[in-house]
Amino acid sequence: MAAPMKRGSNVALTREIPSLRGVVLGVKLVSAEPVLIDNLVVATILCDSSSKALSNEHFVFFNQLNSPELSVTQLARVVGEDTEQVEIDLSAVPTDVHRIVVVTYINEGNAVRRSLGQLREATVRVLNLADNTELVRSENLAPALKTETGLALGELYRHEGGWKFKVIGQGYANGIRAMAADFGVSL
Amino acid sequence: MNVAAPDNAPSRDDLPWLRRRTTRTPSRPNPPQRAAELDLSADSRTHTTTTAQASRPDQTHLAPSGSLDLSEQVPLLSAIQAGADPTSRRSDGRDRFGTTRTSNGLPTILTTKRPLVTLTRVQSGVGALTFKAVLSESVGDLRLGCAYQLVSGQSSVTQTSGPRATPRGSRRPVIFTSGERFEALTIDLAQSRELERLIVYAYSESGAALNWDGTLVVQTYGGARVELPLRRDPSAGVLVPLSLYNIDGEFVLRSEQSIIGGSIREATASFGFDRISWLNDHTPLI
Repeated sequence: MAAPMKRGSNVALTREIPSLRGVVLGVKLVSAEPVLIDNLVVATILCDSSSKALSNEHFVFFNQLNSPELSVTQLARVVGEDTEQVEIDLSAVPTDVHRIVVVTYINEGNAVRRSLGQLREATVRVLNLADNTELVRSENLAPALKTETGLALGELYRHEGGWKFKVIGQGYANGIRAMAADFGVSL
Repeated sequence: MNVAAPDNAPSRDDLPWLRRRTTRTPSRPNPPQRAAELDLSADSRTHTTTTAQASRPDQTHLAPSGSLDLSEQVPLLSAIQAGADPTSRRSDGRDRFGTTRTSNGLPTILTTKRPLVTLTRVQSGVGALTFKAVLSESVGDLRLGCAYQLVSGQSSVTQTSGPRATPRGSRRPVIFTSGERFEALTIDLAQSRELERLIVYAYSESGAALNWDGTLVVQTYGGARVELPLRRDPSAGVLVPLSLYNIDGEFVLRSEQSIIGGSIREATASFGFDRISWLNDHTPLI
């Protein structure tokens, strides 16, 4: 297997595999702290060319498992070893979607405060939707995190008529509020 | 008809649920094109042509769907597929499907004439939803509580005079009370899928008559506000200002504004919460 991808590195998925029709983004989050794991949410945002979500319905997470045109689907129950899996049918992605960003954040629904510094592992990998084979995998993004409560893991983006995947690994001190402002999602 | 073996059969890319790796509810295809050749006298040659067209990938979404097609929902679905923005609002705060949404900046005031507001799935699933009774001292010892039913079937109440969090004993409560300056109830929206419905009620801890006044404020994580007046003639009893139903992931808030002259047990039972075991009229068993 190839070496894990570093932060900021990218790979031209459809150029390497011209037959690629769809991918699965698998996110794995591991921590010894159960309160943190309970409140971690994975979301996928379909963004236009200016990196803003097309609408609030293009914020795919556990309470909205599909984008409106069904191109992006988060599985209610994962197939395999990931914490969450998001299936993306590349040919069904609307043409005005340029980036598909997968993020994680701590839901601050109760008084308990946690941070992503307590994560032991945070990786994102890309599988071929057709046969479940792993194409690429990111390095462990967890060691660089401290007090952040949000993390942009990786993104698929259009490039010269195809799709590339990039490992982002950028933390957000202000969690989902900061990410929602960044990606134009109105909470 | 030539049926290919499973090993070398061509993959079907026209059925969205087959593209996924799990069993899933089929999405509803576009309405069938009620073409002129639907007449019963059509000979087998015409039939073959239709089938051939249907198997072309660019045509398949026009193919007649199964019997699950609910035709009255089709315009709605095709409006979404046509790329219409379902979040666009008309001037009265309703979106194009007639659903009232919260608006930015302005609070949504629920009245008997305009009793409903629907939160989006993002508003119903990110952060927390807080109910707060904003009152002056003159009202009396007003306390806030809610009767809830979870998807698991579990049903009970959460209130300031106990139990203060639910499910009781859970390290991760779905609903909990917090009283700082004002009485408040909070729903942890990371668990919004657990919640089926609830009613919010206001009561006097001592059972005395209250000078009903003030406002129940519902606040989303993003800061949108829904407000309900609590103003009434002074009386004893339990006031149910609001109900909440989780409709397919969207929280629908409804102004109820009914006062029930009796106990919390009677008030919750009158809203159909009949699966709660009680210690006495004001205290549930769990």
